[in-house]
Formats: sequence, C-alpha cells, structure tokens
Amino acid sequence: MKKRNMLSMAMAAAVASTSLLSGVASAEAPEVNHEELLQLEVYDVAANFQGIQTGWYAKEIKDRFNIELNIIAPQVSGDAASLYQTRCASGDLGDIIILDNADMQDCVDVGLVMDISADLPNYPNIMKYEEQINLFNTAMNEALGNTGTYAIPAEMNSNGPTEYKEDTVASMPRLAWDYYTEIGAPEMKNLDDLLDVLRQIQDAHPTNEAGDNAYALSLWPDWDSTSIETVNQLTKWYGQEVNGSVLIGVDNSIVPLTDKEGAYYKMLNFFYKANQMGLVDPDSATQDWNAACDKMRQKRVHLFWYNWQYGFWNSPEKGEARENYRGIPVGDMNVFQPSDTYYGDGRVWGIGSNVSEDEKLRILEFFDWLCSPEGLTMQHVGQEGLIYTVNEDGTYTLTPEGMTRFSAELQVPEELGGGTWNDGNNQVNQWLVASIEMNPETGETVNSDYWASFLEANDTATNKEWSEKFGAANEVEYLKANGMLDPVPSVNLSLAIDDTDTALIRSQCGDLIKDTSWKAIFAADDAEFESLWDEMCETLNGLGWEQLVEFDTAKYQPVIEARQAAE
Amino acid sequence: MKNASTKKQRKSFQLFLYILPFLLLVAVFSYYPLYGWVYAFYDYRPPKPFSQAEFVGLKWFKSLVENPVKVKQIIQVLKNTFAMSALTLGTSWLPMLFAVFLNEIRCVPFRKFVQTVTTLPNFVSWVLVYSIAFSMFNSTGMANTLLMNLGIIDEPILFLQSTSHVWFTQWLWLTWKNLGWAAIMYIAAINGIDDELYQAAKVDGANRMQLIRNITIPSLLPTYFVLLMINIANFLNNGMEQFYVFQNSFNKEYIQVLDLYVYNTAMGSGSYSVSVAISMLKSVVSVVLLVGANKASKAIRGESFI
Repeated sequence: MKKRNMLSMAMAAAVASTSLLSGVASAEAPEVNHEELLQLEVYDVAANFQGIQTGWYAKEIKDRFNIELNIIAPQVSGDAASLYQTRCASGDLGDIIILDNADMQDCVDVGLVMDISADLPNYPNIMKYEEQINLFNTAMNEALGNTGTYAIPAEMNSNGPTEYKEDTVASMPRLAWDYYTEIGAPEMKNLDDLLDVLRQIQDAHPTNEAGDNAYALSLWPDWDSTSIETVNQLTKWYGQEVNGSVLIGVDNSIVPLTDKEGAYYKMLNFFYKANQMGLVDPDSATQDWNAACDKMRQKRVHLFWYNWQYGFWNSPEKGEARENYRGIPVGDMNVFQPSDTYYGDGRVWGIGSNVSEDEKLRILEFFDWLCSPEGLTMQHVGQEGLIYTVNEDGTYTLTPEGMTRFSAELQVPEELGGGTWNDGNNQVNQWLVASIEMNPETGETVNSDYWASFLEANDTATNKEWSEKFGAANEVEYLKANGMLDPVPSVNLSLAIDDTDTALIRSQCGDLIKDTSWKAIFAADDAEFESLWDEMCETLNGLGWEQLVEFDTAKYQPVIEARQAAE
Repeated sequence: MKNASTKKQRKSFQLFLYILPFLLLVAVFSYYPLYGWVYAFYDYRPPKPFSQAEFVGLKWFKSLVENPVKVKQIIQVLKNTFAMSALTLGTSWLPMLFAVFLNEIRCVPFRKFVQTVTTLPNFVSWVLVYSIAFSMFNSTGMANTLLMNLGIIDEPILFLQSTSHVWFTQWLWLTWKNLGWAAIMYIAAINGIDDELYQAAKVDGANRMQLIRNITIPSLLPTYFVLLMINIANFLNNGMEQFYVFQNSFNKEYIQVLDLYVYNTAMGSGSYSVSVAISMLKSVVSVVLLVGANKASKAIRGESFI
C-alpha cells in the first residue's frame, strides 16, 4: 500500500485536471429553494465555540442562504475523543464535517462522508481549486480503494505550489529593536553570538519597567508532544522540522530525531548553554502557557521565535517608539519554511452522508460562496463600510474600527447583526481558502495585513531603521536574498495513521524524550547533558524506537516525493 | 394453611418490587459496564465500529511487560502507587484524631470556624490547588521571596521541580485538602455517642484525656475500620488529577502512579484497549485486597464488613 500511495502521488499531479471532476466546469449551479430555514450541524475540530453562530456573520449567511450554523466543537466539549467516538458510532458526525486529513480518511472509509464528485463541477468558485481537491481525493481513494470526491482541503490558495507571500517566517530569532540597537546591534554569525547578544541584553535589562525579573528565554511545557515543542520550533532555524520521531530537512532528507548531528540535539544544547549562562527563566519547566503569555505581554522575555508572538507586544505606537520586536538573522541559519498552503493545511471539509439531496445542494451553494471573492473578504476581513471602505482605484482601506477589530470590543450596529464584532465573527474558525489568496477584484491579498493602505499606515520608526540596517523591506526578503530561506513546497496528503502498537510506542518514547530533554536543559554540566542524552537513546531502543522511526520514515516518504515533484 | 402461604408469598413479592428499581440501577450502572472489558481483548480504534475491530487475545496485557525497560517502568509506577497509598493509609487516623480534638474545643464559634476553614480546601479543584502552589513556590513566589529577603538563600529554590521527598510533599497537599472533609464522618459519629457514657465516667472521676481514650476513640473505631476497608479497596485508585497537575519532567519518576501512567501512555495515544486492560488488572487487584483486608479484620477483630 505504501508503494501504491507513492505512485499515486506522482501520478495524481499529472492527471489531476482530467480525473475525477472532468471538465464540465461551465455548468450552472442548480437552483435551490431558500424558503425554509436550514440549520446545519458543523462538526468542527477547529472551533473554539460551541452552539449556534450569532452576530454579524450569522446575519450575513442567513440573509443570503437562510442557513444557520450549529457548531459542534470537540475542543470545547471537554472530552473530544468520546464526542468523536459517540457521533461516529451513531453514524452521523454532522452535516458539514471538518476534520484532520487522517481522520477524514477513516470516516470516508466507514461511510460517514458523502461523495460529491457529480455536483462539484457546477460550482465555479470551488472549481478554481479543482487541482488541489483532486490531488487529495485521488491519494485518499488510492489508499482506500475507493472512487469519488469526498473532501475539500482547507486553507487552499491559487498562488502556486511553491509561492510564499507572507512577510514573516514561522520561526526565527526575534529581539526588541530598542534593546538590540542599544547594545550596538552586533552582527551574529552563529548561535554562540546569539547567546552573547542575549546575555548583554539581559545584563542591561534584568527586569522589566515594573521591576519583575526578565529572562532571555521563557519556555512552557504544556504544548509538548513527543518532544519539547519549543525545541521543535527552533530546529526550523537550521533546516529541519520535527515530525514525530524524525527530522525532515529542507534538503528532503529524513533522519531520526535522536541524530546527534541533527537540529534537535543542536537546539537542545543551545537551551542547555543558555541555562548555564543564566538566560533561561527558572520557571520554564513548571509554568503553563498562560503564565508565559503574561510574561511576554510584560516584556519579561527578550527572545521571541514564533511570528505570532509579535502580537503580544508589537503595536504601531510601540513601533514608532522603536520598541517593537523584529526578526534578527543569525548568519548560519537555514530556515525551514513550507510555502503557502496551496494544497491545503492538513484539515479537510466534507458533507455528511445523511444529508438530503436538497440540503446537499444548499450546502454546496454555501461552500461556493465561501470560496468566492465576496465570501472570502467577508470571512477574512469583515463587512464593507464597518470594517473596510473601497478606494477609488478599487482597492480597500481598513476603517479605524477595522484596524482594531480583534483587540477592541467593537460594537456592531443592530442593522448589521448587532453584538460585539469578535463574538459575531466566523466561529467555524477554519476556511476553505486561505487569506493569502489574491482577490481578483482588488489585485491585493484578501488578508488586510498586506493591503498597500495598511502597510503605509504601519510604516513605523522600527520598520524604517530595520530596513535601513538590513537592506530589505521585511525579514522574508532579507532571508531569501542572503540564501537563508528557500521555502519547501507545501503538500497536503492523508498520511498513515498510527496503529495501536505504534501509538503506544510513540506515547512511551515521547514521554521519555520530553522528560530527558527538560532534564538536559537544566543539567549541571556538559558531562551530565551528554550522559542524559546517551542514556535516553539507549532506553528508547528498549521501547521500540527503531520501529517507530521506521514507521515515520515510511509515513513521510510521500511528503518528500511530493515536494521533489513540485520543485 | 395454604392460603397463608400464598399470602406470605404475595407479601414477599411486594417487598421484592420495592427493591427492584435499586437492583436494576445497580445492574445497569455497576454490572452492565463490565461488558466494556471485552474491549481489552480487541484492537479497537474509533471511528471504526467495534464490530470491525480485530480480536487480539491477551496482547495488551503482555505488551505491558514485554521488555525489561517496560517492566522497570511498571515496577517504579507500582512502587509510587503503593508508597503513596501506604502513606495515606498509614495516616488515615489523622482525621479521626482531628475530629476528636476539634470536638474538645469548647468555644463553639471558634470550633465552627476551624471546621469550615479545614473543610473548604476539599472543594477547591486540583487545577486551582496547583496554581496556588505555583504562585507560592515558583522562583519569584512567596516562599522564595521570603527566604531570599531573610538572607537564608541567594538563589531561588525550584520547589516544584524538586525530585526529593515527592511522595511526602504530595501527601502533604492531599492532607491539606482532605483533612477537614474526612473528619466530618467522625464528627457525626462523635455526636452519636451516648452522653450517658460520658456522664457515668465523669461521676467515676475520669479526666478529659481519659474520656477521650476510653470512650470517644473506642466508639469511633468501628467507623474508622469501615473507612479503612473502603480505602484499602481503593488502594490502587489514589487518584489522578493531583498527580497530573503536579507532574513535570523532573518529578515524574516518583509521581507517576498507576492511574496517571494509564493516562499518560494509553489515553495519551488514544489506545482504549490498553487502558481497559490496565483498569481490569486494577479491579482484580482491588477485589483481592478487599477480600484480604476483610479476612484480616475477621481474624483480628472477630468482625467482618462484607
């Protein structure tokens, strides 16, 4: 089956345009009757809200389609696994089903999801993503021995499989601009230089303005999976991404996580050295995510790595005061960054097998709108007039309300749906098409962060000085120009699921790796660090590590092949 | 004669109908779930229905002990479970003593105050207990700040990361949370002791300590032993929430009790079958312990409880 899967991957790309949904894209969507209110149950693994969608977004879809969304959110239910299990057992997961790729494959296998291959060609906005939809379904059908189209990937775009349009990478070192320039903005060639810079910053600012201790690095353990999540994120600085028990490289290599030449060991050692220098928050191993968040908001952490951590501190005002955090390159970095999710982000949408013919058509009509420029702007930005206005040249500008819509408690006028804007925002929290998609009506991205009008409003002193020093508009441009970034093509496949044996081995090995990694960071000296690592590798073998690595190597082989095919 | 017999039978049947609802409840909620044990012998993975799961026999039971590393892990886990349960059992007389002394406080408002304050922690969830512990014992918490300001230490002590005395500190947290609550049963029992006993003893010239030693404590012992039995049956169930919130990579070796181990390995990987297998083993051991304790009680005290 493994082999068949690989083969299908290679073929799928070639035959995509002629396969399942072959060529009737010109047909008109069938007329449907909107007279009756249709309440749809949305089983949604991404939602952080359970219940009926309310507010402005609810009004928009009710006015258009007379549809109400009843969101079933396993994340909110308290016991996600048993909710999933019970609903699967009842044979009705939901009318709209949003799942991770692998779960979707299981559900298609047991007949919980409807085949929509005959209908899709009638919907021009969905058919823009025909290639992506076909690629995913062909691979899934190969694995299951099925035919048909069951799932539509989430977060697709049509910018091309290797395109990276964002202006930040997911992970790189990020420092407060005022602190970094204060110590002379030294050039950093490697991690030792970075540690030295962090030490200087921490020496200069041992506390924040309120007098609370500040540290260069503050970690939190509650996101750990089978290894320390923070270390996983930092392996991306050196060209490798942790996937279970293996490291996948920008060079399409696969090596075990425990490889001593690998980035996991390297970055674990970086944290150990940092701790030796007193740069690691002593509460790192025991605090939770919320405690760490508070510290980041209070400027008690000098090094950020995720791009979204900017949100904890950066603002136009602080940017003007040169206080924003910005990405600072380290000379020997080789950043691992998948391109935009052209083929989808690992989750998929489907329609439950129990919906009636009429309901199916109404759902598909709704899906088609979700993929249209109008629907995309509504989902990713908001309503015209309240959130944005249309300029003379057809581009959009955010209103002052739109600028602060996520952070301020914006009240929506009653005629537009009422309530606060955030409460009324799309609670499905998952999109068929990504915000990085180009809007044909404006020639800009759907995402308001990249509108010319927005960038102009946000051109602060921090940004200007940064651009001057590094000679680039943003970090992505700098990294690309200096050979530190070559995005790997994003792929979206349904990969092998752990059988019970593998799952057991994974959880036992994972516990050991996590525990040892934390102890290693806080090790007393080099000898202890080394012996912890070696002991871990030895014990791992007793737990079936080799079997796990073998499983994961085979599991991610299709990803490698698809990347090679796309390059 | 015959008539009387049918009348008696009818009466018995009527009485049986009275308890029938409760028998049904027990059957539905206590015995029917035992059917779930069948999962332990299959490789069950949702969303595939159970009817499509593969029969694997004793595989999951064997997998717990299939190599020396796992055996070592299980032994350590059992050690932790037994040590912490033994600590709790060994100190299970504390609530009784607490109740006795509480009862001796003559100032009623003060007694009520103490009782309320010691009972309240029982209603605080473990997650909150941990956040209290974290704010008291983190590197800039109350304990470290105090010690550092007094000049006793220079570097903060990472209490929560400490690997020493884990069993003892966990027992302290548990006792802090449970003492007042566990004493309620004894306070009720003390109120039920016949006042005449005390009066008679006082007439004979007994002082307070003698009253406690010769009347209160002997009257409480039956209650104590019943509770002890129940605790012994729960020997392996020393809870999970407490250890789950307090666990970290440093103390895990000593804090991982059986329930937490099941959660970390089996539930963490979604392996229902394995967790059922372990919980079956637990039930069997619990029954054995209970029967053993009952036998011991019969031999020592001449009374049994089941």
